[in-house]
Amino acid sequence: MKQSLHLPIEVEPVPSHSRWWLAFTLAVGALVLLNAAFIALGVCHTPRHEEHLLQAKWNLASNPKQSFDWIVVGDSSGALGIDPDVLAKKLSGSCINLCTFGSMGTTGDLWNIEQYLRNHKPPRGVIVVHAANVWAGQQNDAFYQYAAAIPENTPKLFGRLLMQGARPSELYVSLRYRDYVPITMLKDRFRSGLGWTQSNEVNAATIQELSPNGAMRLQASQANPKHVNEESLSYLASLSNAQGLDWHNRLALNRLVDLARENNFGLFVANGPIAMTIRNSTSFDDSLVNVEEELATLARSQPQTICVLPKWFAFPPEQMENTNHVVGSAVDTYTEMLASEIVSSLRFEHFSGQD
Amino acid sequence: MLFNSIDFLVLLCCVLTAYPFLYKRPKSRNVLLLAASYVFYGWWDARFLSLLFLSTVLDFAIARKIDSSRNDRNRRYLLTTSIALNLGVLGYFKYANFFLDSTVRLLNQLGIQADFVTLNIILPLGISFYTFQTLSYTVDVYRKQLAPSRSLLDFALYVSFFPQLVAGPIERATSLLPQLALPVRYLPSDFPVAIWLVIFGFFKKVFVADNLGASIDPIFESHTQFNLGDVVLAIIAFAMQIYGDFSGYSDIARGIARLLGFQLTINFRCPYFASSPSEFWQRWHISLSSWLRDYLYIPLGGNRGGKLLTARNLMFTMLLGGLWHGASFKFVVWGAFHGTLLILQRHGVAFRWVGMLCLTMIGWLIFRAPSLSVAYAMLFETEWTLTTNTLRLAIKILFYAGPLIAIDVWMERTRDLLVATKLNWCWQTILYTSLIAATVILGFDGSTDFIYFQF
Repeated sequence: MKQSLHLPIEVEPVPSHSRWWLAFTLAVGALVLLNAAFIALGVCHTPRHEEHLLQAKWNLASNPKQSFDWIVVGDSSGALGIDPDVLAKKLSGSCINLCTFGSMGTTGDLWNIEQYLRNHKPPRGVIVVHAANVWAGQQNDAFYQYAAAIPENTPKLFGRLLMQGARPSELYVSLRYRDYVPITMLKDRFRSGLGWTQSNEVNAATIQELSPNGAMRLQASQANPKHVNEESLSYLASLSNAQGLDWHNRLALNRLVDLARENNFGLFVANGPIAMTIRNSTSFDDSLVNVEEELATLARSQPQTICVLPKWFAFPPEQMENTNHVVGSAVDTYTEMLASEIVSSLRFEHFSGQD
Repeated sequence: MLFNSIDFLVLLCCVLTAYPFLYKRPKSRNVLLLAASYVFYGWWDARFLSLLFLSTVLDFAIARKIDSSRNDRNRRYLLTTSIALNLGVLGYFKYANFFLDSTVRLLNQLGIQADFVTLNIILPLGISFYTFQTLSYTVDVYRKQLAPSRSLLDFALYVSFFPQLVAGPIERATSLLPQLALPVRYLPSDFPVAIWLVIFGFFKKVFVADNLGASIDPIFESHTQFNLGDVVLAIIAFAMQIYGDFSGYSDIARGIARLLGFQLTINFRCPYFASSPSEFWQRWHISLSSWLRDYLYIPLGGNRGGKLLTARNLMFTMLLGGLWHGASFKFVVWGAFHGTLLILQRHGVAFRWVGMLCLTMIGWLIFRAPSLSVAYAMLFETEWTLTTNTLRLAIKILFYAGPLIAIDVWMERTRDLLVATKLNWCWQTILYTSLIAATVILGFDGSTDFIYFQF
């Protein structure tokens, strides 16, 4: 391992301070000017696919013309896996799907329900559907970026985020960034122009065709058993020992329970679809012991308001796009299974949140 | 705390605001930097600050004992204690589960039923880096190459200096401790060099590495859906991704340190221009490879015991170097692969630049693939077809990696890693504008961890 004679080294520059500052200032100035031109031209932030979805569901929750008996909130496992028409038929009442995606956690569910309640009379029931890994998942940076997609919710969010000990500064920065750094929109135009968007991203154009009850069946992609099996193995390998609910999820869920009690609707907590390989693994059960226990304790403490449905809806890889998204042809099956569980729980006498 | 996060930006602004008032007074300055370093580390998980502090205090005390002891046996005993403690902590947090799982697997293969409990251990961030720093300090004091630090404050800052705490460069006490004991004296070139390193580092991380990572992750995760062309492109892209990611971190770390008036070790010297295995390790992760050379390879005997012993020493060093990267057999195999290349070179096998580059890529496949069987399948069981998607991926990789390759060619040809700082003001303006614009406008959305954080 002797020293080579020809390795590049750092030769210290002898800078002329004024020239270096000139170059640096001009570089920064050029970018500031370009950005200012964008602001002056009224070019604003181009929402990404996830933001389109958030806004679309937020708009559905805000539309005072449509009232529903049942509201489904949750992550992408529900957004792509639940057909509100099927659910409506089984539960005898109209239904809307306001599910978004996992990064929003239960906080995103809460916001949509709050917005719905601001514009409508309370529903009969709210169904919260999440994939297993969302409950214990920590809120990440993406949450704050995406949360900023709904600017009208922001003033209220600041107060609540402060109360929850979260990072309103992140949200503030995300919002200001969207307002004052519009040059970053070039990124999306550039990528979409070259067709460099990820193939599994939900297409913005299709979201605009979202049906009035939030159904997104069209977006469910083709079955991919090989991919599902590989992803299942990685999923199982990444499982850690049992964690409890993430505290953001816990706070939001408690607030949802309060809302259910105050507005006299039933709150159903259900699992999203999951690949059979994962469901059949004992390490999967082990990893969820604390989450399940915590949810069960909450249900026991408010038996008339919240009902936790413990059933797992396992699907073979031939019916899945990935470990927690069913393909279009299995949407009805999953929705019917979910509806049956809800109907069964309604038979319990003590759960009087519903008829 | 990530360099590419708002939290870090706020912390850095706070430090830089207070710094002009303190940088000439070592004690006050070091208090500020130590506080910032502990906030930086504790932001991730405050519980592990105690581990960092414990490691600091123990090595500080043991090194002083070694220095004051006149008895060789005592000195050796103290050194052994320090090494055992440091490696014990590192071993427990990083390798306990790996060895438990491996033992269970081995016993099961031998027909003995065993089922140990997998421990729920969180790997403390940067433990591999700061443990190596404290180890080298104690060993240097033992070898009488370094006087022990008289100030716990200085030593604590040496161990936890926030620019390089979680992903290096692995600083030697002989280089950093003397700087921490003195008032900062800025050179005229400090600011331009620091700003260049930070801008270039962020460009490498956010534009090159993160974008490439997002493009190729699906190929490594579900390779069966892709053809051999995609796989080959993914390996090339990963080589650029890991280089951009890690050297980007090192550049940002060195740039920030330089803004604070400290010089950190150069960690990369255009590594893909190496034309032999030994040259590669003089260009790639230099602070680790030189550490392994000085504290493992040479103490084992180096090349002093004939060809066979040299080969053994090389292989052992590289195996441990591989294992340092993570508790997984694939890293051990990656280390063995590089160990074999070094041994072959020792035995007169001539390497050329292209050959070395291809071998490095094969090494990265072992490193990045989820498992060894997947690595094998990716290379030998994937069909060779050419689709428009492959072509599109090639253009994408060229777009993201091309500028970094071009700058590296420029540095290599001029043999100057700071050649960009010598351009005239007009070209510097164009270069800075391009790099900042690419980072801000075309950089990857959202913050992603640096790859070397996991090590």
